[in-house]
Amino acid sequence: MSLESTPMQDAARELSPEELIEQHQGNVWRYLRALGCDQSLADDLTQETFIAVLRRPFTQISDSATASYLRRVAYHLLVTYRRKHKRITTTEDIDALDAVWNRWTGADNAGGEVFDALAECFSRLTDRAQMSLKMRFSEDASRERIARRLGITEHGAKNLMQRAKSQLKECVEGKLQRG
Amino acid sequence: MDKKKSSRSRKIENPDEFLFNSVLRDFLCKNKPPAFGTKILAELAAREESTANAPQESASFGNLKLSHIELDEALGAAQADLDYAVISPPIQENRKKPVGSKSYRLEPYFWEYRSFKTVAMLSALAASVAISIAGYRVWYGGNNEEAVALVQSDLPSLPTLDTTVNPDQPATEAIAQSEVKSENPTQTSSEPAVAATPAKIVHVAKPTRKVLAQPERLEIGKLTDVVNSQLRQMWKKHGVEPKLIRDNDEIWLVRATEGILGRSPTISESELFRQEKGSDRYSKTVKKLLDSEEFNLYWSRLIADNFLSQSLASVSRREASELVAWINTELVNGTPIGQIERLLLEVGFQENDPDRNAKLSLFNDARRRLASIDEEMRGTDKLSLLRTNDRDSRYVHLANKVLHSTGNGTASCVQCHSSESQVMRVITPPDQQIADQFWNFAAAIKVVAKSREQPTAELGREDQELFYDLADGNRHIATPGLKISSNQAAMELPATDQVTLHEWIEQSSNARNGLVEAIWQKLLQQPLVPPFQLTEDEAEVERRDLKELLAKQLQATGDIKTVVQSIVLSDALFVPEAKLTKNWYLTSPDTKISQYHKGARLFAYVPNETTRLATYKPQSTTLIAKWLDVEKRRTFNATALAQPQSRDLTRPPPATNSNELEDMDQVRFLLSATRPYYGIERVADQLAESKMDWNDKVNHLYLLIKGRYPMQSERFDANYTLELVQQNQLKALVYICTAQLGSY
Repeated sequence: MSLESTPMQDAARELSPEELIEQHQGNVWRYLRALGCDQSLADDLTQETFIAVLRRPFTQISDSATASYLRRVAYHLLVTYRRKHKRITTTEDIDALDAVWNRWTGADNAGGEVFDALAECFSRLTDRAQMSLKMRFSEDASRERIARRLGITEHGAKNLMQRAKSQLKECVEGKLQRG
Repeated sequence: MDKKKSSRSRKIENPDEFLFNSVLRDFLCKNKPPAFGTKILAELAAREESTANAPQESASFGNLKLSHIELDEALGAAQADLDYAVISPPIQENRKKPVGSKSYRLEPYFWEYRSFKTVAMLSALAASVAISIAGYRVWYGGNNEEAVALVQSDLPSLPTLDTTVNPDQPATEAIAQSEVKSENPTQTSSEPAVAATPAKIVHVAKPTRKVLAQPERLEIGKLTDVVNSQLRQMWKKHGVEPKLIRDNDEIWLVRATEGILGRSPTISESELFRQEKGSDRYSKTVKKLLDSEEFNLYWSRLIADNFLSQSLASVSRREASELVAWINTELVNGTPIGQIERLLLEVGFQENDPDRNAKLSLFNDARRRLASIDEEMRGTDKLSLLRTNDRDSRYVHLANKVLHSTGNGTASCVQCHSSESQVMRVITPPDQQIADQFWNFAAAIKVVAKSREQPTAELGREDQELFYDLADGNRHIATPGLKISSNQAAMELPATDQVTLHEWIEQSSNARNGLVEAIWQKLLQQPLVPPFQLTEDEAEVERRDLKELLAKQLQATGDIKTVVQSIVLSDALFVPEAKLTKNWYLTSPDTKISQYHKGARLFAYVPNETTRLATYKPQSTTLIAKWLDVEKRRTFNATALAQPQSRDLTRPPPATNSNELEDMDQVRFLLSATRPYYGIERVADQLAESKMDWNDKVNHLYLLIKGRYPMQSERFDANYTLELVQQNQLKALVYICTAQLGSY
């Protein structure tokens, strides 16, 4: 039994549509990106999410409840979108990603703190590790190019990036768990 | 940058890794959402205007085109997710579990076969006769006094009505005599006396015990009427007029079968139900479901869940199987439910219990849970369960079970906790009328906690408390008096008004509260007494009459079928489904939605969470026929299927000779009522041989046998099955099909 459910405890003042979009657009967009949407699809679905919600009467119980609601609407819009573009739809992948995202972001479902933690943890990596990840993710550099740039073998570059990602992930999860 | 990240389907091997890479990429590329504010509001205004002019026109925005209906569907689904906790932590926990951790049953357990049951029963009978003869010889025929003493010391001192204690004899004297009688001659004097448990546990039983009055039994029809009247009263009170879906038998059958057997109806069961005519078709169908062997096994699992206060999945498979098998046997044998609960709660007291090992295995878990409860209670400084060492745990376990399992979990929390402040409150029943209700034991324990601090002050009334300590330092379990009060003088009860804890569990209808609450919760997915956001008075009053009535009937009949039947046949299964009535959410005023959220008062049917993601489609055979037509997989030709059994299907002849109808008939026949397994292997063979990937094959199999796509858990099961049969797809498909259609 969940006597803990006291939705009015963290009640916030009712936000205007502009404020609602301003406050939650980043969270919804990041959530959709985490579920595997490309940028343009995340843009579209974020917009559709707010339009869907603002078209109907909407009670804002609390910030976290609103964030959850928006996230679920976005989730179902993504499912609908995929259904329309595939012959058979399965939500297995989305569900798995949704579960991981929930675990990361916790009850607030905000997602902003994930990026804050990531920024802090990333700064703790060595310069070489930072450079390898930057080249890999922001420049789409091949492993060979990264190895050449760092003056190591391809195998060494692979190991370096794996270790860096592992450390980064561990650090981020530690920070998120400690809240 | 995102060329590789298409949102189209592809199997994600490691969701953690995928999500981390995605976040890392956004971070390193400094990807941020654009400013949506004004754009969204402008588009919203434009859409509202266009909606006013052309309501059904599809709205377009950016690269995405979603209709108003699709947007509304997403809203309704999201609201339903939040209302019914699709994303609640326990569900999330389940999602995180790897495929291999989910237990899956491929075929019946060996003990489910009739032949095994018969052999086991005969063996048990023979063994008990042999043991009786052997015991008789040792007892009367042997000359070895030591052996006799040993046997005597092994005999448990069970609470029994047959214990012959002189009613005029003082309680303390009786205890002392019992102790002398049960003392083990072989025990060394240096051993602490308390180590000789359970022979040291003394139950003060008197020959003239009070037998609790048993409630009268009501007819099923009358009981259903009472449930209906309570529901209608509740709807009227809240100004709700539910539109009952009496004209949709398919939906009712799905709900009833899911509630009674824990699974969706098979195509064959649907066919049989369609063939039923007349107003009594509901009761006939329910009776058929209740009489099936599946019912006993399914509800054995639920009773075990309720007893453990947790899912069987968290207990080891062997122990869970033994417990379920034991309960199942008792249910099959017609043992009254009160007796079953008493036997379950006597864990650790009956040394000669043949199922003791299975029950004792639950102790470890109970200890762990007890530790957390104990800690919580100590923290509140309101109520403290007694636990001084490991030997006490069995007593505390029993008390804990009485408080949290025999009584209902939901209501017990409401009774002990203030629903507003969420702190423990001390229960002091004002009068004797409700004095035999289970939560009174909380007060009893509190009283004991006080007397423990001053052990010699109140020795004269120790037999009215749950536990008490004598001067010898031993702890004793006592017979709790019916009358519990903060006024200690008022707790003095004549012996004839007392019952033992065991008697109370077996005889009192209040001890059935927990099971009634569990049955209601399982069938309707909401608490019988809605506790959320209600004041204490409201929580106690609302549906309390109904709960008492159902508990009394459960006690009177001793059979859970009575309660299940009355609820399934009531209006509760005819109210619209919450998930499907999303318009209700969208059109209802905020106050009504808020009220519903707070109360969860059965304004709408809440589907079982395991089937919530899937929508039942009565027209499934048509869909299958279409699929067959589209895929050109006409392997089930009419000639091959033209067998006498097909005439057993009493259905109207097809109006036309169209391909679709032929296919539909073929599929219906393949999964027909008369031969539910006929053709399964051919279906599986056809699917296994096709070039579709495994997921698609599972999709099609579920479309065939269930008329819907598989749920995530079912897909996990399918994958696990495939692993178990070494990737033999044909074998896996047959297993899945057999399991889904019922293996009994």
